[in-house]
Amino acid sequence: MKGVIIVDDDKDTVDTIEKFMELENIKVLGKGFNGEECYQLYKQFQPDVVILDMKMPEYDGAYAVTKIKKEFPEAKFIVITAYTNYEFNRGEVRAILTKPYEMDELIKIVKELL
Amino acid sequence: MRISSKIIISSLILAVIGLIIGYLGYYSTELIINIFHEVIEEEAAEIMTLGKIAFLSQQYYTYLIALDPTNSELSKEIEIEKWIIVSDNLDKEIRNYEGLEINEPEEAHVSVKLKDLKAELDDAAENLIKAKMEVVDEQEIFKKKQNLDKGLEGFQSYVDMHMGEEQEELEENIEFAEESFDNTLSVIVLVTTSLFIIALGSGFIISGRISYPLRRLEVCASQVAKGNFEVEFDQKSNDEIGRFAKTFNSMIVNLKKIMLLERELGIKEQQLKNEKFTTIGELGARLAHDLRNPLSLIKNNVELLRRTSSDEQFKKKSEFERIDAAINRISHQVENVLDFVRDRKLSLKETNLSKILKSLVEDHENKQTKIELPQQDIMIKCDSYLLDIAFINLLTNAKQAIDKSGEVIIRAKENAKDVVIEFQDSGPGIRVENLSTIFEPLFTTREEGTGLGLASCKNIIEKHGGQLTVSNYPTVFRVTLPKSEGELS
Repeated sequence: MKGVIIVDDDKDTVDTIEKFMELENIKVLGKGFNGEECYQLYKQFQPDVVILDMKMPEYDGAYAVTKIKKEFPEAKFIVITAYTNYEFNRGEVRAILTKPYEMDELIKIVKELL
Repeated sequence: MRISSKIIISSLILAVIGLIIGYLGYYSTELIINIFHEVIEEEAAEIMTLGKIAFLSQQYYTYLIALDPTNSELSKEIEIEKWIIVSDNLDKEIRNYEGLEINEPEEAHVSVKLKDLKAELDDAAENLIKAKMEVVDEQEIFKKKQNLDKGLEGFQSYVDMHMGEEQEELEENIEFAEESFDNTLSVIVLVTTSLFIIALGSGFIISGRISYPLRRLEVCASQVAKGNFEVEFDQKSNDEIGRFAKTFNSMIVNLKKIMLLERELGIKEQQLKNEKFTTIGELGARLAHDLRNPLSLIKNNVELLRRTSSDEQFKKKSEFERIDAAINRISHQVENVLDFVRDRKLSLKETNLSKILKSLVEDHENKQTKIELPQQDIMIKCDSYLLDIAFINLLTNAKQAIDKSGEVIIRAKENAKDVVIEFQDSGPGIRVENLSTIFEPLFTTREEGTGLGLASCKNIIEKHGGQLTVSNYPTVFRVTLPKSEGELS
């Protein structure tokens, strides 16, 4: 088990998820705040799971998914979004959670993917 | 000139002509009759007088011949006296004739001639009487009688001749009168016939000049009624119809302007409405997104607080539940907004509508809600997720309208074409002024309402090709969904 990376433009959200991961003994390899940072982090750590927010300034979640999938087709994403109208190709992402979501559910999915 | 003036003037002209012709006919006929009357009367009097003269002359002669020389003096004198009376009568008639002749001075010679001839006759008669009275001799008497015969023949032949002339004249006059009558009659017939033809012709022309433009106007007006404003009522005459054509044409032009204006207004209104919706959509979506992030943070951090606490009592605090419930409520409001603004495509599946309604009541159970369903399950092709949202909204609305003793009845019926679902509540009803705006987005009478519930319901039902209507006393929201797939939009 390598761990996860968490990417969201809101630092509080990233920190909150990080806390939960720590509570569950899941290693947080890195934290990012936009799509490009997500790509850089992924290249660096190649984590088991990417917990990714969709709407971010400049480089959004969709950018990161596309770019990472190109180089690392095996990458696993859990998308957390306030929007419900994002459309992904089958298999591109493992799960989509709509805010506000139950943290237990996120933890459950992460554990499954590790 | 006005048409009415034209009609009045032409009828007046015709009436005056008719009147003149009538009077002319009447007077000419009267004139002819008078002339005829006078002439005939005169001629007849003359002929009658001449007839009397002829008769009396014969009597005159008869008495003279009857005078017998051998008779007694007394009887002779009686005979002579009779003759004198006849002779006087003859003279009187000749004078009468003279009197008649005064009217025709150019013919006055007749009475003069008659007088002369009578005088000659009288001479011959007196000679004969003398001879007979004195009884000269047979020879002498015969001679005198021959003289008398000659005189009488001359007298009578003159009278006969003249009577013939008079008769001829009378016949001529009668012929002339008849001819005049015939002429007058033909003139009257001719003029009356032409008058009739003129009246008929002008009637046709005038009515044609009225009815032809009216027929064209009818065609024009029916075109306008069909919405064709490109027509024109072409009528250049300077009468009522001409003026009406101008007014009519300007009316079409104005109507066209109004229609265009209305269309523009309609488009603008629709644009405004669309803009309103777009703005609501954008605002709503942004608000929803902006709310969901902090909501998520609150929810997760409350959870974090609970989990990281070492105090078991603290972990079980009911405040956590209340915070969670509040978050869920906000989340529901956000969902509501998103339900409305989200342009979700229908995902149609054959669905058991009765089941949806039953679980709707079970999920929101309270004892005030009743459900009336037909025995057989109602099946319909619909987007059950969206319909469920609409039904939840309608049920929530109905429940909010009633008090503790009130009730809500959900009723579903099915006919050949549609499925009808009614949400009836025993609430106070909807204020009349709100009935028309109740389905407008952002309309709400409740402080905590988003004003999107009913708008969203209507949107969902209409997407299914159905209708959402409302009626008062009791308040019933009626959903009509078409069974046929073809009617789905």
